[in-house]
Amino acid sequence: MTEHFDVIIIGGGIVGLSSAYYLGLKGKKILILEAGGFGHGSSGSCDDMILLQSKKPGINLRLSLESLELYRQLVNDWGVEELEFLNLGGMILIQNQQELSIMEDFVQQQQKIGLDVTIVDKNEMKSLQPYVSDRFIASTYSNMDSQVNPFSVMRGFLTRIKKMGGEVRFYSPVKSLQKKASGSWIVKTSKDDEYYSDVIVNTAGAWAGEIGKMVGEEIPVSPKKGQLVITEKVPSLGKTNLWSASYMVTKLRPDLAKDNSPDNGIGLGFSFTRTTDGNYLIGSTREKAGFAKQNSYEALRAVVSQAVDFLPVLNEVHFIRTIAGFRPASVDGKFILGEHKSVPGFFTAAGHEGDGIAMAPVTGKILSEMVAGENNKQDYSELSPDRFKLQSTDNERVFNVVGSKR
Amino acid sequence: MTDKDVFICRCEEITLAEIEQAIDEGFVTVNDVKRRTRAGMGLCQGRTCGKQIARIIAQKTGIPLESLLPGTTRSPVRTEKMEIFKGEQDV
Amino acid sequence: MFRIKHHPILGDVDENKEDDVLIYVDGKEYNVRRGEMIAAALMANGIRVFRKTIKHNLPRGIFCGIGRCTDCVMTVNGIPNVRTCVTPVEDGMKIETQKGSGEWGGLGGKA
Repeated sequence: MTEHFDVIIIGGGIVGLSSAYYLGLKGKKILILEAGGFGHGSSGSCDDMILLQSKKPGINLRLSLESLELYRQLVNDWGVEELEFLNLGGMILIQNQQELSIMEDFVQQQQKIGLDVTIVDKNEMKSLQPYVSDRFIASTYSNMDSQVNPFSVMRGFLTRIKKMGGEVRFYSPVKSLQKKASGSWIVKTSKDDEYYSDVIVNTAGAWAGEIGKMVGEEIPVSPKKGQLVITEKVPSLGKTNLWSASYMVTKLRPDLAKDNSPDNGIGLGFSFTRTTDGNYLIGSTREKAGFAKQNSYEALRAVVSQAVDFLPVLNEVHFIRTIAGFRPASVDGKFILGEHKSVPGFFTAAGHEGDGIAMAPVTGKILSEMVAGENNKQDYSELSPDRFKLQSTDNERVFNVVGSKR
Repeated sequence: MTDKDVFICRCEEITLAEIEQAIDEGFVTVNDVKRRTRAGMGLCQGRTCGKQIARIIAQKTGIPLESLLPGTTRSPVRTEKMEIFKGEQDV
Repeated sequence: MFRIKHHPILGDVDENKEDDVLIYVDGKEYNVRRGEMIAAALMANGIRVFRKTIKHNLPRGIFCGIGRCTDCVMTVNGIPNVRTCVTPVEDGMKIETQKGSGEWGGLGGKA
């Protein structure tokens, strides 16, 4: 069986679906090959945030803002109910003076580039979050942090991709990629189906490196396991979603990380978000555990203990499910987007780590412009898949990380 | 109320009509129907409706029931208060 | 009244009411038997609607009766989503018909 497509997208998670949607709008004939089922990978095992406050000023924050704008356009086009878009805002809880001064500094940097974020005192924090523990002395607040239901977004993309004539094959893992002399690609799946295309887009998330190997490219993306706990539907426990500064501080000031309480290498952070249905998603860990998707008792217990410590009311709340997903982490904390110089016609859009949901629209849109050969006048070389090779010549540290093949 | 309005997933109030629509759209495993409709995402986590959904898929698509995997189960086995989980001592 | 008074295996029900427990259901007082599950006490008093569903506001009560299906949940002493079929009555217990996912009652910021 052979069919020719303009673009074959490998990976049907939220980034792959978004890419297909924006390519479809440009009239491209699309095929998505997904190894598992709908929402089978990381996009179905994560939280739901479009979180701006956690981003350092730079390309990540800039693109997050653009992505939020694109989500607002989708809300406009599809309706708010279909996406389950919510704009509850967010607060990062601060425990001590050291965290406060680091966060004050960080908030100032963000304000400078136009993020609407402030520090609120204990009284104001308590009026917005009556259930948080008294241990917190202050908090940040931004009304911009938003969220969507990833399943609803993916379903919305999927329906429209099909309407535009695109095709999606689930349970179709790709086995090999070959380039013909004519320049077109032959994609073989493990079912021994064969498909042809002009362009390949690798949106395989944590598995992007495996796809890269098929064309001889090393893509430094590795899985970091994140475990979350889902509660029953309960009445609202506060006006906004929540995070803790301790995790932010370890990101902003790694030199202080060792002073914080030990987390047994599970990378414990705190996130607490309310879904449109009234369940809370409580996270999370960042573990180097390969592709083992099991939940572990130690990690879940750490997540739950921390949550009831921060919001004692949760003692009375039931948890109904635990999940684990692989955050596709790139070595330098920025995702990878662009065509591989040495493999013309092969694009990668992967490595979003914890920002796949937030960044999906902007990633898909930029990718569609790149594939269509349009110039949107922005420089994305910071995200180029070739940046790792470039940096290796003048930056020993990055070279070591890339070369170590963790 | 017609037969199609009967609730299959009681927790999330998902009807037979909604399950059948998902199957028509190509979602033909218990997990995929769940991710598409929320059937099985509620308080009881599909412990009541999971088997019914497998049967509906089998009847509608002709896929043999025995080849349909049950939905993924994950801890906790039964919903539990967080208090109890955090209160446990190391074993 | 739905109480079984003569059971082939468990025997006859003790009619002694001195050990009854006082509970409040939506503010109304009921004397019920100690040791019974909330759901049993409610059924015995002719109460069959325990909650209204979140999406369609439909009445729900006992379905599985063994703590599995979670259809019978109510707000008990201010805590929503309590499975009444596996929770025994206690003296002074305040039980409320739950609307949707309910409301936090009387917990303030302290619970």
